[in-house]
Amino acid sequence: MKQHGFTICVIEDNEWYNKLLVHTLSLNPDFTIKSYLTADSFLKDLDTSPDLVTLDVRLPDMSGTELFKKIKEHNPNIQVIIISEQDEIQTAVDFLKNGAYDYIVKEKDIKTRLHHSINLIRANRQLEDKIAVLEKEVINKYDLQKTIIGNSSAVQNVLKLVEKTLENNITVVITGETGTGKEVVAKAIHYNSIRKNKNFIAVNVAAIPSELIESELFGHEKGSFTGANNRRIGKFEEANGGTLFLDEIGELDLSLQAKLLRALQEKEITRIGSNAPIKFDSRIIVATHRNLKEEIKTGRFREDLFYRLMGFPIELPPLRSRGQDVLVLAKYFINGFCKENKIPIKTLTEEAKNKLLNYHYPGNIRELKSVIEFALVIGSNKEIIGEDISFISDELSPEIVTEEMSLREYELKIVSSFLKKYNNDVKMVAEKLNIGQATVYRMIKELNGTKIKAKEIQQTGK
Amino acid sequence: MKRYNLDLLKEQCGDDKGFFNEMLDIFVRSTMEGITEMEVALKKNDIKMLGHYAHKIVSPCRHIEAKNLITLLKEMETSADKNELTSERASFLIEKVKTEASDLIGDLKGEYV
Repeated sequence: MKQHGFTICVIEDNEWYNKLLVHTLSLNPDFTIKSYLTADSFLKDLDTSPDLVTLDVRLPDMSGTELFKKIKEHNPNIQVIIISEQDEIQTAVDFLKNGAYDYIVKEKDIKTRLHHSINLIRANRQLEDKIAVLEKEVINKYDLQKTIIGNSSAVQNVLKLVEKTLENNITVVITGETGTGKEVVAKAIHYNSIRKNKNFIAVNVAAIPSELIESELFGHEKGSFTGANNRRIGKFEEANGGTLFLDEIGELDLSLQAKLLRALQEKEITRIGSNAPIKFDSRIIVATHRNLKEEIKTGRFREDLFYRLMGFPIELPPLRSRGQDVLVLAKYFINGFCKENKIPIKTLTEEAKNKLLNYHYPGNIRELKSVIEFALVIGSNKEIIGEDISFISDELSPEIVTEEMSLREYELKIVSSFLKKYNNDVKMVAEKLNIGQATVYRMIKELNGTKIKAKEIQQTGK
Repeated sequence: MKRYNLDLLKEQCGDDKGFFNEMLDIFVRSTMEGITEMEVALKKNDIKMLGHYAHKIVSPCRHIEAKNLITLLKEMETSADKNELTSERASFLIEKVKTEASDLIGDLKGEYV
């Protein structure tokens, strides 16, 4: 963070008051104070861009209003506190409307008020500096080369596609199995795009109950429904100027698909309980693990919305098809974990490497990350050895595979069993199975729509 | 009854006696200069400028709670701003200001010099 002093220019034609202000402000050793009796003498120094100007409304050579305008035109970041003999509300309102930080009347409490305002300005300035540093860090964090990691041709192809999306606002559709990094890619697109200085807002459609999703996306007015105690802006408005990432778009109810389509076509949304449409300007990125064309055939996804969204498709490859990328990613996760936890960096033995390379990763990169972190914690050697590598599938009960079921049914059975075991704690189940919470919600939905649910509940409920 | 109150100035100056004395010097000098400027402005019949100088003097007077001076100077400033100050009234007010300022400065010098 930028560490600097704080320069204040006192512009006051009254010698008495000028001296008094300079004396009062000089008591703080962090402040550098410059004194001016006329507007003209200050304007000659304007290029030095002070942090703050205290400005008398009435000056002999120029009105305070005119000088204020010149200061703000020169550099809108210079804060200005108006110091006035007059207690005129309209004058104060006009100055504050035009960007003055405060309007202080020359009265007994001037010292206290002035210091209070300056403290607030300095606190704001520190926050602004901090935000600037963090924004820089975020942009650096999502540098494409640091975000989309891997040397395989599949990943290099993804990188090339992502680069094509950076200089325009085309809607991007990211597909790929769970854990392949759809949100990471969405963030990488945003933080390297022309919208990087605005918000990136992510909404996991599958993780929000259907009755709340409309309010979440479009916002609502106070009193528009039971429990709407305040006005709330939706994610579309939050993302205005930036990027809205709709994860698991395939899980959106048909009725809301129609509303989303309308919003995307008209570039405007209407809060629940309001009749006033609100324009928005956001880049839309959507992601899904589903094959949306298949969803259209089964009537679960609107064809018109599909074509509206199908701007620029990017398909993320499953980790099992990325060959040596497994080791590149493993190294990346080792370095990250060791750095974060301040432990010496470990390397992988050949045996550990082979074990990692010969696994099929149903949970993809997310699963690999968990496997590596577990290995780093469990291992007591300087290197990660084969024994430290443990996959969740290794722990599956052997009898489970004796029943004749499809792979999907096995997955549902496992999730159902874990939900029972952890008292329907979705977060816990997701952690234990090394899958995303969205996946668990999706599977719950699926369980609700199949007989397996009833069967499982009966079985596990005994 | 005292014509002024220096408590606020003393509080702001703290232990800095030098600064306190400097402020009193500035008060005396700038008030006298301001009165002279007002007289010059009146001679030129420049009522607007007269109002400006009245405004300039009034801030320190307020600071030391020189109530009589404040009343006279504010009348000059306000009526000059509204273009309602006649030369006769201005002349009368300036004389009153001179007398009041002279008495106040006399009191100040008696107490602090």
